[in-house]
Amino acid sequence: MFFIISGGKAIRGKIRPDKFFEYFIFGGKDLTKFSLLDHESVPKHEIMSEGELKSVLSKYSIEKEQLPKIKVQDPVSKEIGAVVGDVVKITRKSQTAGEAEYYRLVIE
Amino acid sequence: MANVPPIPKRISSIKFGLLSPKEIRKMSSTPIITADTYDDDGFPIDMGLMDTKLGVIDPGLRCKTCSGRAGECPGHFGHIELVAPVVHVGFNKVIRKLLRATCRKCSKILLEPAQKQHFLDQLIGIEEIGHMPDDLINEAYKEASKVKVCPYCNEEQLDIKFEKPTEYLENGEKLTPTEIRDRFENIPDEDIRVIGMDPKNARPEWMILTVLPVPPVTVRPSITLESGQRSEDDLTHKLVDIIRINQRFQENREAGAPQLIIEDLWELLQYHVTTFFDNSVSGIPPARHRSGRPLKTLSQRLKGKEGRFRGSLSGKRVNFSARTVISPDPNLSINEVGVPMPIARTLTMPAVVTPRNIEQLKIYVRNGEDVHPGANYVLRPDGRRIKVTNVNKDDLAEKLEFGWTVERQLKDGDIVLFNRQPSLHKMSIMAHSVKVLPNKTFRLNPAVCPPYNADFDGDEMNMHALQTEESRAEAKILMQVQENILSPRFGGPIIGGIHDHISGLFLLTRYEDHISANDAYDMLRKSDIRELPSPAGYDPDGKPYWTGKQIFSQILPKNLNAQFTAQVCSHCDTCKKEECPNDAYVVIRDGELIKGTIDEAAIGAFKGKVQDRIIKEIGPEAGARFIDNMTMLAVRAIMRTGLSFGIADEDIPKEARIQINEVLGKAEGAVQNLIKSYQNKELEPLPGRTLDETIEMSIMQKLGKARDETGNIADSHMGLENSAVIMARSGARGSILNLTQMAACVGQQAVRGERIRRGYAGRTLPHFEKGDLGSDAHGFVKASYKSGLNPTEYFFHAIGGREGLVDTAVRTSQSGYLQRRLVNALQDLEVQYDLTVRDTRGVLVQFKFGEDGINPTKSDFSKPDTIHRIVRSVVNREVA
Repeated sequence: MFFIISGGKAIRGKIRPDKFFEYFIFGGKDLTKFSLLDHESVPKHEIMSEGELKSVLSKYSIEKEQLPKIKVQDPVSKEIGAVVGDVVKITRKSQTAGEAEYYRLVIE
Repeated sequence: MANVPPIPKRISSIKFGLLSPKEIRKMSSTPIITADTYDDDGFPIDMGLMDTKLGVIDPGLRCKTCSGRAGECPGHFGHIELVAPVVHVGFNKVIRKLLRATCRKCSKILLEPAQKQHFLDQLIGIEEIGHMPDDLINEAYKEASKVKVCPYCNEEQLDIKFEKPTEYLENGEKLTPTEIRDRFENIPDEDIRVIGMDPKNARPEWMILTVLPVPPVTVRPSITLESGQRSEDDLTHKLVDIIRINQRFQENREAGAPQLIIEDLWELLQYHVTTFFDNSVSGIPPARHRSGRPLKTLSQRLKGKEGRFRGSLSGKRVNFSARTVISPDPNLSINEVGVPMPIARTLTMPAVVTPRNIEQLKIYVRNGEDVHPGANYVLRPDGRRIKVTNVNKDDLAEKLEFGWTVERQLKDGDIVLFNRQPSLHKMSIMAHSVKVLPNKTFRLNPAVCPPYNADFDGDEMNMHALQTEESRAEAKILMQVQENILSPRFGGPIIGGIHDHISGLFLLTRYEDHISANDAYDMLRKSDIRELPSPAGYDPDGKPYWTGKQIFSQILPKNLNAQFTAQVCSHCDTCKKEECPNDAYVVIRDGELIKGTIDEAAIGAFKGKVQDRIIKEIGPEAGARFIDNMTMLAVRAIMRTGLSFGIADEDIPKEARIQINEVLGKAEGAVQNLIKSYQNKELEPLPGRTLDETIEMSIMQKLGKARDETGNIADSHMGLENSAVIMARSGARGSILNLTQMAACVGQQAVRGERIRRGYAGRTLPHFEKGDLGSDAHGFVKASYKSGLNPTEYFFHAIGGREGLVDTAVRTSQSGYLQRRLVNALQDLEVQYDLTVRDTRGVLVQFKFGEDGINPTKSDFSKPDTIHRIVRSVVNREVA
């Protein structure tokens, strides 16, 4: 037996364990659908456009493979829906530079 | 750079296995049957231990296998057919395991078929995920050795006992190697896999030797003594023994000798083969030379500090190097190193003869090897190397031509590398210029001790003489001491005044005493200052005087400006800056010390702002000159007043002693009160703590406060006239805490941050009652070092002291290993010209070094101070 509060209204009912998370709603907010990126320790991740990537590669005169890597299975890759071959741009807070950009190639 | 391989070079696999008799015979170039080495003409005997089929070591001969000459031929294996099989010592453990895990009759592994299959399946699974199968194999072995009756042939299994070094007893009866080998031969392939061996590469019967590989002669070269007599390698001697016994064994067996003799010979053969592999097996006497020296056989060559791995592969020795004890010499420049004459006469630097230097080099050659700057060797363009001796030196000097090379002895001004282990950072190896000095130690300016982490309690250091112009130029530009004053670790100077330098300048610059012209010149004598500024004033007798600040200003560069707080700063709530009553705000204007005291914050190693400013604004040369002058001035300044410390300096007035006792008494009372309230269950536990933890913490805190208070009392009775206070306040050496412990109260002794609790049940020592929580019973030392500790205090102090020693010993080894792992992981990363950090494949690691691209060496103590400074110097005032 579980109590679930939805939109301020309490629903009472029997819940199948495998369906449990579907009902996990609090104060009108669906807690099963939070974004990883909302956490303050997770820096901003975004998939780069073709043009952006080209300018970065030419800036450092490198091939895509010379970038640092990130796995597709990585929770953040999944979150932003990156696929193998994408390049992710990460904007992080930096102790030394205030804000720093980092690029990672998505790999298997 | 297009297709980047994941790792520069990938080793696809490494295979380990045993050599099968078949393989040994296949790789052998010849069987060895005679124990003799050379015939009467000194020529290697065919099928002897020095057979030329095994490779050649004498020049002129050619290898019969590869027809290479000595040096070209890598050597080839031979083999000895053993008359009877013997056990290989290295595999005793595995042999024992196998004997216990297999049936004595049918040789199958002692596991039910289902169990066997279970282990095999698991093994495959483990292999797939790439884990080590050790645990599983041990389990399989354990299971198999438990079984008493063979599940296949119902044979009862007997107890196998292993006896050092190579004997196996089955129910007290000896198993011969032949019997063991027979059993192993019959083990099915599948069963071998269960026990963790690969039947293709390592059949168990190969651990019982029937044929012995003979290492190539290049592995065991013989040496020719001056007398012309040949001396063989230890391995050759051992092989001779093996062949002799092998032959005797065969002869005896063919002649039908009694079983007893055969067994003795078999055992002897086993002994020789065992010691051939390892001459330090326990249970048998090591094989010895005629002189009584134990032989160095195969495993002795590899094992230990001087073995192949640690001695020859990880560590090697180099030529053109010297090592000796170091001692201080403040009169040397920080860029110099004092080299003892005997070392300078032995180490050389090559100089090519040119029209410019021929006359000078002729002088060196004429000086020979005994007169200092001389020459030890002369190299002709054809590669001949001629030793310069007293007989041929004049002759050689005349013959000297352009293009020849003279290996001249080290002389003043040569660039050498100087190093102290452990070499933990780049400043552990720096370039110095040579100053040849008498006596037998390396001399260095004490100011360069911090980067090397050296002291003079017997430390030794290494010196390397550079052999090419390029290396010398590179060392001078990049590695010279003056180029390494600033550390990339924190962006400040790592070289600066230490100990007496700081006390000396503190004494010189703090007091406004009158320094006569005589004293002033004396202090500046060693520097290049020859003129004094206009005097600060005139004494009543009309003689001019100068202040210490003026004297110090003389060694400052003329255009230096700096403002900072000194080490003696008492961190008042509002800083009065220039008007500091403590004279702790240093102002240097146009190279003149206007206000403030020079101490650790100004000239100390790691902290010195003055060196820092000079190097960053003027240059390393000026920085080095300043440190040279500063150390010499400081030594003279401290000699003018003198600085000594005695027991009397730990004296405190009677009323202070009374005050201290009062404080300690009160603290003890407070502790007793705490204990009482604890016993009466009145004590409130601190949040998140148990009651026991709470009382311990409260007591620790009370006693810690009491110690600090006693320290303050003692401190207030000792002013800057006390030399220990001078040293502690100026940052030269020691701390106020050290002084407190000497004069007032040593304080709580702790083990792992807690009061001492170990000892007997319920008490630390029999002198206390069980359950006593009082301060004395748990290691609070009320006494001072000067007053002396009572026996229980002394004992607790020893406990606390021991923990400190153990801690440092453990920490150094741990942090050393941590550092090593970090260095190994990071050593191939490189900052490129575009400020990216890349590895050897060109894969980026950082897009901008440190994300801001700042070179920490050139930053101001890793703070963004530089910008403020530039703004300040442009607008000429303080900007927030």
